Amino acid sequence: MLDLHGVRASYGNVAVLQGVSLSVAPGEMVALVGVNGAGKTTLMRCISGLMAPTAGTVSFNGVQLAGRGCEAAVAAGISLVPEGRMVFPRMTVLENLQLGATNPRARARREATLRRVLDLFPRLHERAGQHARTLSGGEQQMLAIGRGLMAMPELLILDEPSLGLSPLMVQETFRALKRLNDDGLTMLLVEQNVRLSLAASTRGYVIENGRIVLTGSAGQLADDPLVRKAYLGV
Amino acid sequence: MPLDIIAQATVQGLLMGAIYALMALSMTLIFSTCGLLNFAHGDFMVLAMFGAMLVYELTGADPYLSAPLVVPALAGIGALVFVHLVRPVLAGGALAGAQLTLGLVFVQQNLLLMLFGGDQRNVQTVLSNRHLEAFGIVLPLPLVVGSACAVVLAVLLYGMLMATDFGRQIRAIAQNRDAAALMGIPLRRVQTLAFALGIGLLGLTGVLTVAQFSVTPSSGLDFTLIALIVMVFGGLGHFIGSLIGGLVIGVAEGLGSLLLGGTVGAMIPYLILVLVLLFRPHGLLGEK
Repeated sequence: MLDLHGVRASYGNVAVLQGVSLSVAPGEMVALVGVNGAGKTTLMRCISGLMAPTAGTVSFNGVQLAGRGCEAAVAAGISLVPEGRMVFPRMTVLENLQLGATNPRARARREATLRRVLDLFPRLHERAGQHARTLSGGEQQMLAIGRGLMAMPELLILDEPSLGLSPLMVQETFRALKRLNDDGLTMLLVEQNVRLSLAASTRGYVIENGRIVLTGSAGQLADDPLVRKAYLGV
Repeated sequence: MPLDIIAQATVQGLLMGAIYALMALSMTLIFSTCGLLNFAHGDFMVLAMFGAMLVYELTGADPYLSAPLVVPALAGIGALVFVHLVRPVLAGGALAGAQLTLGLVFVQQNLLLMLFGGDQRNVQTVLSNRHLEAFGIVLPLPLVVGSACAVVLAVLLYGMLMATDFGRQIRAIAQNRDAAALMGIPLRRVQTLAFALGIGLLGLTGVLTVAQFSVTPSSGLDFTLIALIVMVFGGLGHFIGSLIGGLVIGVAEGLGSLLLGGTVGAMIPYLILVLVLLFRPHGLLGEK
């Protein structure tokens, strides 16, 4: 479904991605783990169209996306829930969600999708009229995920969904993600919290210094001595 | 000082303020969606005023009737300027954008000088030299009509921003451009339309006030300055802030020149701006 081949990207002279290849198949929940600065967020920017790779291909269901911008990625069926949530602070919860359904396909079914998202996150329903900046961190994360779902994506990418959340909120968020995946939504999960993301995923990649250094099933990765030593602290 | 004179100056200031607010609103619209501080703002307005005068001189039609011609022309010029000048230059940073618009000031001023000469111009409309009188206050009719239209336009603009998909997209871009892009909002199209809308609105402001201000080709900077003060006063990118700012600055100017005389009074809006920025460095409604 999603296929990356030899993706390179840099900020000025600093090469951040040095040829990343990875793929996600329909229905999968794939984890991408790595420390801060490994290039995870840059990779997400390249997939979502916020940034153009300097080399390599990004294709989604056969459509080439590299360098074609966010509109093309969203239209193809990719939705990114960005790091730091990036909700629109001075807009209501409802407006944030409505904006999620900007592409024509999603706009046509906006009301139906809205009902499904509010069913999934009843808290958002209670706070529909509130400005997003008045929400707690966990609620903002729910809103960011809900907004991502409003685009009716085939692939939902989550960049650090657990960042800055209380342990309880993290559990709640991951339960919602699991349920979405069980319902057939394909996901790419980017996390610093390796234990959590490997537990939730079927397969994973480890990224270091802009390169994929390890890949395998979630179980294999969790048992790998390198991963255990570097990320799990055991 | 008799109370009715103060009341007169206050009401006149409020009416003027409504027009200032509209000028600042179009500046805010452009600043928040395109990230451009448009120093040629007032010059576009002067361009529209000269457009209205030209229509009057060529056809004898009332300057107000030139709106259906002048406003789309200005909006079209706005779209062209954005696509071919502003967008390519803005990639080089906000400062490059500011320099570009300063350059546009000179281009427009000299173009108007060549075409119309440097004399101060005042044009007669159907409303000129008529007055409205109520409760002992006498108001020039062109100002009353201009302000009333400004209020209506501000309300329409606000309604558009709050209640339409296009308006929500504009606000989304203003609040977080990356997130707006991630929603699949066509940034380039929305920015072009917002820029054209802003300049078109400014064109309408020019036509509506053509009987109120007497202008020369170099009057643009005065209008830019007022719009800038109002926008900074209210908080950069805040639509409601610009609205309040316009009214406050209008009244301050009116009362200032009445109580302190022309020269000192003209300083009052700046003093108020400094005071506001001392206590609220990001403007009345600005944050962070």
